[in-house]
Amino acid sequence: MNELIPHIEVPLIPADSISMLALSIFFMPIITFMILFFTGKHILASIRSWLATGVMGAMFVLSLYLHISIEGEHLSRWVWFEIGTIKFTTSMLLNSYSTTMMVIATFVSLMVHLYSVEYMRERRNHSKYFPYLALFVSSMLGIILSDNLLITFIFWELVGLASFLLIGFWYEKDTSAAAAKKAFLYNKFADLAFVIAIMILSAVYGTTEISIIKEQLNGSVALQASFIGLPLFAGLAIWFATVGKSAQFPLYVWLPDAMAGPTPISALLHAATMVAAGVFLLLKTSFLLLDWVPNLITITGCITALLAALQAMRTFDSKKVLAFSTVSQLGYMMMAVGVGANDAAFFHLATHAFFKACLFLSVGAVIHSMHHMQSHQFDHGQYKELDTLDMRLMGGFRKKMPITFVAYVLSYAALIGLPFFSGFLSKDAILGALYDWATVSGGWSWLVVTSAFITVALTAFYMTRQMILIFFGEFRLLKTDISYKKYFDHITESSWLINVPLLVLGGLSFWFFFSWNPFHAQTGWWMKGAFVSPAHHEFHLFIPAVASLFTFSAIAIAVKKYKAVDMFLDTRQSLTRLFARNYYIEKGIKLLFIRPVFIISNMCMATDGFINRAIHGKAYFFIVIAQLADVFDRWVIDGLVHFVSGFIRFIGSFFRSYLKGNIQGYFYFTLIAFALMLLWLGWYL
Amino acid sequence: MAAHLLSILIFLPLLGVLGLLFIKSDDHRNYRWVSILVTALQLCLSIYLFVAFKPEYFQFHSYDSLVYMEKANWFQLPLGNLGILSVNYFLGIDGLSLSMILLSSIVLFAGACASANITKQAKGYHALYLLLCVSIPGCFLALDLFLFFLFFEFMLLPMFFLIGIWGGVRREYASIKFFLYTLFGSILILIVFIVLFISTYNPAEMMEYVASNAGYTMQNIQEGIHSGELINNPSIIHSLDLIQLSNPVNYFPNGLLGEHNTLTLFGYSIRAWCFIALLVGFLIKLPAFPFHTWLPDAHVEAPTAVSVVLAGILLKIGGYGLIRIVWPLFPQEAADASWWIGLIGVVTILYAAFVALVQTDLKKMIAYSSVSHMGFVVLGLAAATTEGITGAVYQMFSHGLISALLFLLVGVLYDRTHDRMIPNYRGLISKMPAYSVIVTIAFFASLGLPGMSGFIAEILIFIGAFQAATSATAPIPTWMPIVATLGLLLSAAYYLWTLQRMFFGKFSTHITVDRNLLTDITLSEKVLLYTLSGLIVLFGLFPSILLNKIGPSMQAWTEFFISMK
Repeated sequence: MNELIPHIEVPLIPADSISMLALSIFFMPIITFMILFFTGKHILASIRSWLATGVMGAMFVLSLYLHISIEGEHLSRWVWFEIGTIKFTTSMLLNSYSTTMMVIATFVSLMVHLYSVEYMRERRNHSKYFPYLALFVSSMLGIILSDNLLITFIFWELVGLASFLLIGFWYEKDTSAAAAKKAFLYNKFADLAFVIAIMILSAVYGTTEISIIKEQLNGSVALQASFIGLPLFAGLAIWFATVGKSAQFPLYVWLPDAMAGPTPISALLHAATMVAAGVFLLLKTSFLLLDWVPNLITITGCITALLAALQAMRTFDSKKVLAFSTVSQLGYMMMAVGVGANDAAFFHLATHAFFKACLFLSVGAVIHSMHHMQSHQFDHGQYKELDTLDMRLMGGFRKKMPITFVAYVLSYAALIGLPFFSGFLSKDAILGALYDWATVSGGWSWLVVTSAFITVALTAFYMTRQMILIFFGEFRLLKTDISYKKYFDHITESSWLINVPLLVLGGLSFWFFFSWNPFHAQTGWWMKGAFVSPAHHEFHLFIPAVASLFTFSAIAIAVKKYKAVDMFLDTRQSLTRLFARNYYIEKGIKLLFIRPVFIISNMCMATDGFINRAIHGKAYFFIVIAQLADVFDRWVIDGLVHFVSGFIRFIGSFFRSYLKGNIQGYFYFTLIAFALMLLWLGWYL
Repeated sequence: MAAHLLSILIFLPLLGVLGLLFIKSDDHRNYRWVSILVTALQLCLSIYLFVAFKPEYFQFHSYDSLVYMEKANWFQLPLGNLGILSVNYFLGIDGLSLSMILLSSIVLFAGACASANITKQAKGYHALYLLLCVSIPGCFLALDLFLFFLFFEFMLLPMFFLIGIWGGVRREYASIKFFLYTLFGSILILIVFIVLFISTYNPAEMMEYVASNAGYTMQNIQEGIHSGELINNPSIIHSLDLIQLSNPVNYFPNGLLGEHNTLTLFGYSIRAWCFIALLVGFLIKLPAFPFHTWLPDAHVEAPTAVSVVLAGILLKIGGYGLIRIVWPLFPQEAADASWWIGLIGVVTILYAAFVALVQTDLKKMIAYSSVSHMGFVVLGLAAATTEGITGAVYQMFSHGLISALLFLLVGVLYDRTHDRMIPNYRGLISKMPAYSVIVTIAFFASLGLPGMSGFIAEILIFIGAFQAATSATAPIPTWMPIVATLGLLLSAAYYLWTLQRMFFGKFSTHITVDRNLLTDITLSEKVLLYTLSGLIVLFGLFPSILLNKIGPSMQAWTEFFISMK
């Protein structure tokens, strides 16, 4: 065990009935996933859709009930696994804040499910859509409910998996496959920081339970003084993980590409819930954000908000505008987290979830009818390429799809922050918090405030631009291809399955859902005081006034510029290219990371080849020795043997030669033998 | 039967070989049923053992806690004044062996099922395969190092022939390379075993001989040795009993490995050299950088089932050897060398991942990813905390299952088209949807997605390593586990890139590939693959199934290590 801190007791807490309810809500989509994943292809598409939607509806109702009836905090903790005496626990925390988030997540998911029943009808690979969606919903709930960072991480990665599967849903498109991979890899890079945070907290506290760490950190002053290093890095690491998941600069580039997935997915994952999970996590672990880390968060949020808004101004892809807008609004939420205004951040998270989802779904309805036009052409043998997302080809949908238009306008108003709408309240809360912070910090912090206000104007500009391009004016596709006219004339409103979610979400953009006072809210009434910050925010009248001034002037400029446009001349091409290429971030990453990685890879492979050649060299060395031994064996040793045998043969043949029939030889030998005998006899006698 | 359960588990396949000798069949494919049946029986036995095992503490000095133990005297060799060399047939099981036995039976069974399509000389193939099934469990259960070495070496023979005869294009090269490489490691291990033989004595066995002489106890013997009285006594018994060897009292104080020995070679003591030799011997098997180059060739050329067994279990024997033999016998040296071992671990993880990124052969990429994952085991060992070592064992178990799955999947493709090149395929999901789903599951499992067993292993290793790095003794620096996390990113990169290139997008193949051969997986293939995937998810969601059994052993191991170093 670690000697830094004496062993910290992690008490187990059994689940009470409220917690059991939350757990059952969590398990419902898992069961949906199991059923639909394994039997999906064998049951009717409509059964699939309605089963998933029905379960989702039940989950929403139960979450609402849970939210209404919860009092105080319910924490439960149990053991997941043990290694001998070391326990790894998992825990679930229910308070007004997690139940609020649950309500938001289940509600938007329900709306998206309903929408998807129609939108995904008769699309390819339908049998996998609702299971993947169920996987996402359960993982999202896991992040919301978990109070243990390790468990949060598990669900964090699982939502990444669901995102991968859903972005790449139409797998035959190269753009989808590439976007899915990109999303997962960028998130994985940020998740390495999460792993490091888990490592640090395990080493310092022996556990990853958030409540326990919070107690320890806030309680012991001595701890803070001498060990601030490690907890600070843990907080920094957790923030870095959210830079990936919540699309902060510079890791946000996966989000615009993620628009290659189906629009309901973009609405649910990449606008309302998944990307907000990062903000949610930071709100939960805000006690770990120490020293200079909050300032870093604010600055990054500020840069993110501004740069993404700039990009939105010049893109013609309807979904990408909303994607950039999401990135920008996430920047706002992060700025609020950085200055400590947790309530404002959460408030904006809530309002943003509803109006951004509505925006995506309404733009999706327009795309859907563009798609119908294209498939009608196909049915008549005309196979034409049509980029159904390009706003330059749209226009005039206001008259054809009024309900969609109304929903769009309501959520547009909320996003821009027009008075009497929800976004006005939440944005005002953030701006107010920023102002309060700047008055205390001074100096460079005013830059942040200014930038936030400028971004408000930019937001109004690009959203108005989008609204005009899609809904006003003439249907510009007809200018290039008149054959679409008959299909355009026949466009009607989408089915109720699409319109109901649109109107409901649009309706939630009004102020009264969050506060009775249309101009100022401490925090939403139904959010049950979730994250009421200790500091009472004064209401500065001039903040909404200035913001509205910026907003209205931006709207006026946009209207003037785009009202009567029919040609899209790109006057500042380098700027457009800069925005379109994400400020060359990807190029930078390719140069700084990807190319070096491949250089290293090739070097490593060459090293492997070198090792192999060295081994071959050693083998050849042994072969050479073996050959030498062979030569020695054959010539020397064997040679000796041959020599000996040859010698004996020689002697033998020498003696044998005298037995060949040569009479003189016989006589010669007999004479010598006789002489020797005489000698011998003579010597003896 | 329970008393001899371990022996039955080990030698059951020999009966299978015997059976094979007497079966004659015109259809060569009928021989596969023998292996499938035998490995299924082995699997049942292992599961029984797993369920019945009570997680006692494995105390390194006592025989009492070994529940299923078999000990019998095998042979003894009197050597005059040098004493008596004694070799026992000693089997025993603790948490670590248990997990490896379970893994090996699962993987061997999967391999037997995958061998179903062998038609060329099938009888010989299955006989060799069953020999493999004998030696692998033997290796994990042997507690006498001589016996261990026997089984350890014995594995090489069937592998050599299996790769060399039934393998791919360069099979002869690959099999000889594999054989000689690992043999070199075995030689180093043998040298150390010999040194151990001569520098230790076995008081327990000597007790059996002097039991008649009442009054003698083990203490007397030990004191006698230490005081120098009993040296060069012909009645001293040397053995390689692992339990006795872990007790430093049993080493001759003036022997090569004794505490009073001051002999050094190039500045390192004999103990250090023995540690290095053993380490290298097992690292070759693991394999770790820079001893890993036999693996890509062996894997690529081996037939599918043999790759499954090679990656699934043979690599784990290296890890097992390190945990079972090297660290307990040389704890001080291991602790001193942990910086280097950690470095080897991190380098292996990253190096192999980098190389995997640029492979064009799918099987070679997976082979390098195997090397990378084994690097995590080394890192966990370097940390030597409970979480670290448990993570290492869990990684061995999990990786066994995952790589078995991965190689089976490559085999599916190779069996159909005999082409494993990644650039030759695009958009396979359209033609082979069920196959692509399992490939996605397998790839995500291998890159450590939570919910699968690989994640549990890796997070435990990271937590353990970082805890070690921030503890008072700090065997490894803090940057090592942090840099090692890059391995996670790299795995995600090469797997997802392969997924994108080969499986997603519009369907097309290289001109040399016949599209009609690309049929989706059959029912029997599905059953095997889904079962393995299910196991991976099971051990990812419910790690307590395994950890309840092995946890106490791992904790005891750590405590022993800490107390000895």
